Amino acid sequence: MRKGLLRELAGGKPLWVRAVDGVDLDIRRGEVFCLVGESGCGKTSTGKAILKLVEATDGDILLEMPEGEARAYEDVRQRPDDPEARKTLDGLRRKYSVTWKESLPWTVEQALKSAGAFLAAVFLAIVAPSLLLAAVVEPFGDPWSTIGLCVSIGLILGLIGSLPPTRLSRRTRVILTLLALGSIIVAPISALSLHRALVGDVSRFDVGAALATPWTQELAAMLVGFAFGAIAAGGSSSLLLDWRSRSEGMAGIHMRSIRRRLQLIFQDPYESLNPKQSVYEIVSEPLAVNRISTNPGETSALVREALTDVGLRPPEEFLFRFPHELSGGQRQRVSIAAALVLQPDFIVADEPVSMLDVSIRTEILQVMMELRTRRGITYLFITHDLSLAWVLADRIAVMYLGKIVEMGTTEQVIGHPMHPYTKALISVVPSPDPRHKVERIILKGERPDPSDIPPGCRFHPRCPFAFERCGWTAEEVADQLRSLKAGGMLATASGVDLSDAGNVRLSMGGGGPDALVRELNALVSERRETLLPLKGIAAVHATNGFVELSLHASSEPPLLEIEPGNSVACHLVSPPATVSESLTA
Amino acid sequence: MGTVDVVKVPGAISPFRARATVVSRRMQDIGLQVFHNKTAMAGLIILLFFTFLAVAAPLIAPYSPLTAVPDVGPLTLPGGVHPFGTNQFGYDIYSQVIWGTQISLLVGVLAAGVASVIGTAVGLISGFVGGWIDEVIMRFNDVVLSIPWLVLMIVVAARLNYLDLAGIILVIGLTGWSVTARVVRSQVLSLKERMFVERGRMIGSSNAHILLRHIFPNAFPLIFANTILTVAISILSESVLAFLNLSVKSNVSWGRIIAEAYQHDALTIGMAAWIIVPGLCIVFLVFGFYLFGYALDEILNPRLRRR
Amino acid sequence: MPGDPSLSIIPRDPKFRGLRDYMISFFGLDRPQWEQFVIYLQRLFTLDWGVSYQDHRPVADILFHDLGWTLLLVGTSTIITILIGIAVGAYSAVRRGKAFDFVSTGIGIFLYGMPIFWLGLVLQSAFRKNSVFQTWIPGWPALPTSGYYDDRLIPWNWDIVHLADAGLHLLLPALTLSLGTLAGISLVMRNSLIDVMTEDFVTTARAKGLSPRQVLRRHILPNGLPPMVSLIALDIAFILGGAYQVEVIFRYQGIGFRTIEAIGSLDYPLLQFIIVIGGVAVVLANLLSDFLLLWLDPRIKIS
Repeated sequence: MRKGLLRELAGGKPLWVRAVDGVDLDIRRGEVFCLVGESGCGKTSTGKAILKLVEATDGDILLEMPEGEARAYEDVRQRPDDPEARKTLDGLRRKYSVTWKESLPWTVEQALKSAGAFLAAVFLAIVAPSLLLAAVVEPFGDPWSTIGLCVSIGLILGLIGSLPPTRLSRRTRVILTLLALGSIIVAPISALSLHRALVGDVSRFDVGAALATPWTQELAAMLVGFAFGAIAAGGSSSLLLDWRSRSEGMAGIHMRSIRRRLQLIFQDPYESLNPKQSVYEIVSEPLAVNRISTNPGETSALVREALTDVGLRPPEEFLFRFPHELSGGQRQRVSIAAALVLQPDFIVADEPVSMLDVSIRTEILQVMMELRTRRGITYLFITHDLSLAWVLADRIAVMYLGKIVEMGTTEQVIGHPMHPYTKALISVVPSPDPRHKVERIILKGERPDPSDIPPGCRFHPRCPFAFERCGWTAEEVADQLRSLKAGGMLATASGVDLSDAGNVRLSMGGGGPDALVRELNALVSERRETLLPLKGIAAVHATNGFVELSLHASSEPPLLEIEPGNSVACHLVSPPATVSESLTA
Repeated sequence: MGTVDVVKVPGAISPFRARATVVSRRMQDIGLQVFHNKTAMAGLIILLFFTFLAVAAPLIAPYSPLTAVPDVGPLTLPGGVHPFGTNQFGYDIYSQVIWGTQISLLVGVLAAGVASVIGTAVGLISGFVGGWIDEVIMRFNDVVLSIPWLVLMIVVAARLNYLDLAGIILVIGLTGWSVTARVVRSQVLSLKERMFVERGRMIGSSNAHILLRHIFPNAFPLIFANTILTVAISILSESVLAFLNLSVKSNVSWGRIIAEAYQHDALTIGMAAWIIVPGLCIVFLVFGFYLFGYALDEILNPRLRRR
Repeated sequence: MPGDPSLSIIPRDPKFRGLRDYMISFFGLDRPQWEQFVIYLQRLFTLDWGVSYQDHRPVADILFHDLGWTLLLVGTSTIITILIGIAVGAYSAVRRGKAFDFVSTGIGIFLYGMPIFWLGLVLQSAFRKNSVFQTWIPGWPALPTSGYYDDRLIPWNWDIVHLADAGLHLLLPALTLSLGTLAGISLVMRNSLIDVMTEDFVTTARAKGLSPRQVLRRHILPNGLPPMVSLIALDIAFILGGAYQVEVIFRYQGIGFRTIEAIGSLDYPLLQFIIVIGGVAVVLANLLSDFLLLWLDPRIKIS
């Protein structure tokens, strides 16, 4: 399974929170993949997005794509502008992606064809019923004929408008509905005039007079007709489009068909169980809902088997208990059993043990690992506890603020961590051996708010190894200088501000700028290792009464593969082939 | 964790059996709690008393409520065989009061039933579906709530010149659903966000399934307690309507008795019981429902914080 | 609207046919239904509310006049109710489980179930001129038990005599209405406050050393009042219902009394607009309470 996932949560006003920003994960069958990170880093969102419990704004979730096609996918993704690539991408996504939405743009040719089809449909829709109505009965003589007229307009429009060559797209349906509404407005006039023509009434058709006669009942009928006509158009169009998409193989994978194979274990063992349901009902519900086994004998057997597998023995003792009659560990087992009963291939476990007593955690984890061996389940384990990942995982990905900062096998990530964040996380894992002393890297600062992501490398404000390119902002440098000033340095400066150009500017108190410039340069060269924001300063110069500091350009470090299977996103780590830049003072 | 007898289940368990076991266990549980709750028992006793009166009316009322008694004339003072006296037509007031229980209970319960069913349905749908449908329904609800219920009921009742039992029940029921709808809706809104609902979605339940199996059972305790309180209000409403001469014309209702007593200045002529007793009956009946409903609410919605 | 209104003014005697036709056209009863509705809306907003069948005075005049008296009644009793209700509720909440709480809650539930008209009757009989109580207890006051200062007969004057008289006449009805609605409010208040009192932050406040009164004033009340306000607003419709009953019993000529009369005599112009007034009043009350809530609770933002 792989995706390049973007998930944006709307905040108030134009604020978007990118909970997950560009995450790519490959999970191989049968392995335990751990997603590690602090709360708020987006790991839960990722897990839920995989199961489509939460909508991903962008990206693909591809299921069981063979190796060859996976490489083709990768290749094609690199070339977003190549129309050929686009087509291949679409085809691949249609076959394997759970989130497939058609992305090919409209070409002029297609647009013309569709427009033509629509016009034809409209014409037909207006003319045919009007003719029929006009010939048979006086239009608007009674409300039912009006409603009938509207509905038939809607139907014809919907059906004809959905036939090929109109393009299969979500917009088609909407367009047709709107057209239907428009046609319904036009229809009465056409019907009336046709009627008059047929009847032989050659007097000039005064639209004004016709519309002016009080129409209460007819008005009501018209309104109803509007509604039903629109519904008819929309409905018939949807049905036809659906059928077309299925027969033309454009349907993609429906979530329903694969839901059985992907399951989630929730974090809170109490909240995730319906307090009014017994254990039996909870575990048998997935079977009933998906209509897998209707026979009570079979259902009970499956339920019992699931309960036994998770360690609730004998299952009979637990069948009719309520969640509040179970201990935390037992509840979580029930949760797992309910996930198991569908015999899934893939389970996302969202912090399954973090709300349990430490003493029970091992048991639950043992159960899960046992199931993996016995039933061949693939796990995506989401946790904040690196030590857990250490023990369980085949591969680990460390997330920070919505991005993956390091990824690799357990030996790679834990054995020789590259990213400063990973290093810090590892260093604080307590070791049972008191003689084993590790220098703990304590990160300064607090986890920032996901709605306010630091530019450049997201981790730079807390990173003990940050340097020039890591993304120091003018605010951060200014803050650092202000605190220095408060501590007594930079006495000759009267204030630290930000210039319009985005640089830091110090206003002069008295005396010339040269002394300040010298002081600053000295500070930077002496203290830059301890006061990291200073590293962001590229140059100091005096301009018309101010001293301006220009900053280094910064960029976000991309996730680079330094070894096969091991990727890191950090400026400190450069890909093997390139030469590291020289750092300016 | 309570002790549970091991259920001997040989092989197949039908879903019906599963549900039945669950429900019966729950009922036992609740029954026990009610038994130990003083307020609930007090209310229940009052209710049982009045139910007995209603059911046994034909047997315990000495006279028919709408026939002139043979032994004394109209407007006789209380005494002897007629503990409350006779009314202006010579009907025995004591019997009238006993028979009046029927109307009050019947109308109260049925009207509340109607209101509850409508209100619950509306609340469930409105809360669960959300979106513009919810908005529209809530606005409509506000409008219904805005109109003073008495005016509404008076107008509706006046429209149908002859109100029979079904009419009254419908009138009260159709005007009383708004509060229930509101209460149910807010409960649904909070239930929608619960994790087990999310789980339900995850395993692929349809919306209807989630609504029926997850949301409704969890909202039911609240609905039930609310219904009982609605009964109390319905009884009151019926008495007001009866007093204003708009209720069931063919049967006796406590409100009607009070109206007649008022018209004939019962207090001046020394027939205080004529006015007082029916009123007290209403008060106690409502009191009973309220006690029981209140206690039941506490039992069914355990508030985890207790000082 | 039920029935044929023209019958209530003019008897069905063929002699009066001409007059009847005239009245029908005057009142617009012969135009198609929906047109009547449009005219109705028109008239509604221009306050041209027609003439009452019964009284032969302009409907608008009657209604506004009565509205004033009703508002006086409802307003007075609501104020009394809120003041006493909040106080009792708060006191009960604080002295939870003790004697006062038990008694007041018991009385509250009892009163809650009491039909207001019955309560009115009882009070009426208690305070009548020759009531039973007078013979038992010397000095038991006899309060006016009906009507109010009828200013159609005697012109109104803002002097002390008239004011006192009106006040006296107001006493019993207001008392009845207050008692009827008091129970509900004090019970809700009590529950709301208890809910708040068991919250953690209250315990924290106590631990910080605040005196119980300070805790009450600064933490409990600000959190307990807002739900109360919204509940009261919801109850306005019920309070109005109670007011109607009170008016009928005490022959207090306000909107309620007028409504019952109008229904009895099928006085359509009056009826139509009474309903409108009722609805508008409740809507306004709700709006008012919304604003009050906004002012009270800083957490609620205008969405």
